[in-house]
Amino acid sequence: MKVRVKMFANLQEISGTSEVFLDAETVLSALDQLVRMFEGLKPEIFEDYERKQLMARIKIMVNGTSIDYIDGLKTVLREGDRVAVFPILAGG
Amino acid sequence: MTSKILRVDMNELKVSCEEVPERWRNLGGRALTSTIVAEEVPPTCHPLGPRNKLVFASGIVTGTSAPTSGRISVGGKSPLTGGIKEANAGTSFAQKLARAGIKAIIVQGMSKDKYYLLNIAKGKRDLIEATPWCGRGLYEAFAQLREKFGKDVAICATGIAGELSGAAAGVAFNDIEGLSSRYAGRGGLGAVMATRGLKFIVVDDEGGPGVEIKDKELFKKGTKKLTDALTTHGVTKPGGTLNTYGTDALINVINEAGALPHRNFSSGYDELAPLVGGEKKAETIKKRGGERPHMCSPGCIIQCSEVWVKEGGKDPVGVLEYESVWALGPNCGIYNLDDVGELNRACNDLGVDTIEMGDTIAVAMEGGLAKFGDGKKALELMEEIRKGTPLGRILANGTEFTGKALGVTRIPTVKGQGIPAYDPRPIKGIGVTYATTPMGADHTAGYAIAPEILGVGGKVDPLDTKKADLSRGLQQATAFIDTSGYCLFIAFAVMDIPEGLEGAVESCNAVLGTKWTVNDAVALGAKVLDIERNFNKAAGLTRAHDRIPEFMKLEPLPPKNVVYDVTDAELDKVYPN
Repeated sequence: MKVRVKMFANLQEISGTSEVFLDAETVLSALDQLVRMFEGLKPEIFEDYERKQLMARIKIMVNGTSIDYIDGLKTVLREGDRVAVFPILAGG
Repeated sequence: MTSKILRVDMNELKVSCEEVPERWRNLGGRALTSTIVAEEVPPTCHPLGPRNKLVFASGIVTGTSAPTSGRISVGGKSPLTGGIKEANAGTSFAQKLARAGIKAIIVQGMSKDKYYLLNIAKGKRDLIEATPWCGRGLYEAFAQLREKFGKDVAICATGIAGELSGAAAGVAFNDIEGLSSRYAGRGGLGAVMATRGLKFIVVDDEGGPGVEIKDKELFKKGTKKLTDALTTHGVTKPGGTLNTYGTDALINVINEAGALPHRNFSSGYDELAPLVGGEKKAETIKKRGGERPHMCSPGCIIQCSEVWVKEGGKDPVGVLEYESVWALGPNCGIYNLDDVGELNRACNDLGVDTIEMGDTIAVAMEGGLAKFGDGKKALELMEEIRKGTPLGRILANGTEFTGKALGVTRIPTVKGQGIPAYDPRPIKGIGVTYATTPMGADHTAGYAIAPEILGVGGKVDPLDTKKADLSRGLQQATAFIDTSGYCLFIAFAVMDIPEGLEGAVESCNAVLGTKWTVNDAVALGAKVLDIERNFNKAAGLTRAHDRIPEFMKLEPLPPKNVVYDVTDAELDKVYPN
């Protein structure tokens, strides 16, 4: 499935881009490809890459819904889905 | 106790010093302004009439070396909501007022025909005629006042919108550069100030008694715990997201969540939003030679502020906050930071709240006065306020007034106050706060966005409609933080690091000589809310006012296509009595 992965805040600075298009069946597959493309993103996104454990402070949405409320890293992607990856941030 | 209450009688043009009554001794910030307003202002009075009062109070630890604590609360009966109002700002004015030995200023009565300036300096408290600085923009007025009174003074003001009695008028304070960019913006308190006949307050704290600390060891211990939390948490630490990108970093995350209101709350997502996001803004400021990060007041560790400038580093505006960028940007269909910067400059110059004015301009666009996206026309509309035309007077009265004047039915307000930068349809908890806080639509009153979207202070499904307990708890904690003098943004760290919250409470105990626990602090917040709600009830506000606008229950918000479906019964559970 061709999906769009958008990155924000320091993830943009590290990767040097704000988005990439990937072929991925799940969120985990998309993130896996992302950190292979941009090695510097690995410690920002994964607490333990081998165990595929996300950093507690990373937020991932698929079409505007947090993967916490879908199926986590196993969330299945469909053609044209928008995956957004954020570090922890807040404001007011 | 060295600090005093300063009572400014604008009928008699007299300023008097009073001892702090015992019942007010352990209060500061919001608890003090709301208590004084509830005791001294008849709830049914006209907000712009002779019986309303305007109260200023720095927070409990403000003026000490406690980190990120330069907050001042301003209170009165709001001409926008018809209820009690507390609006607060981060500014050196708060710290200088506290160090000058003034616990609160109570402004009452109305001068007959002139505007005055209250000058607080070296033990003197004089009212002098302010005519030379009236009817002009606040950037110019602040520069002239600093020229006359000294570069180090702190300044508070109401602007041209206040002079028009506009319910969108805020109370302006200086930033570190001396610009009129820090606002206790919400609820129209600038109009209350202007109708008293008070145009400016200038404070010089040189030679002042400072803020007494009862237990210096405890203060050191408490502030260290809080500092450790702030410098550790990913949101608040140096190099963290607030420090690097400012509050505007939220544009993209809220847009991605489908909850950033575009074109007067008609959509929650737009591909153009990143053009005004924090990432783009930080990059532009760096290129142009503005400042980022930056402190809104001395001693802030978080430093989320900035100085936005034009191309070539010219004409500093001050900070472009997330709320301001959203209100004057995507909510008006404007995706150009230079247009947003000039609109924000106009707000700071005219003395209007950016959220209220952004909602107002968007409603005016929907009403046919301009096309969505037309930044130049939006600026022309704001200039109508400067000229004092009938249209300018309508706009200066805010979103609801303008919507009614133009026959618009999609009016995003609660209790007459414009809704901020989170559409409640896909984020139910923030809607519960908008509906039930005594302040009218106000995201800061109980920031449910933190757990609902940002994963700060826990994780909660934004679409879950059972949010009464969440909102109540946040409202109580917020009322305490607004009392303490700490910036609300400490909450991001202390919600995740409990020692930080303990430290904040301990530092308050150290200043006051109290023995509050964290639970006592939250109970104080609950008491403040009781005081505020009782005032509102006596003013005529009912449960029918604790509601989200009807259009949000009827019109699904794209792209999630959800309506606001929290039941009235759930809203009423927040405050059962």
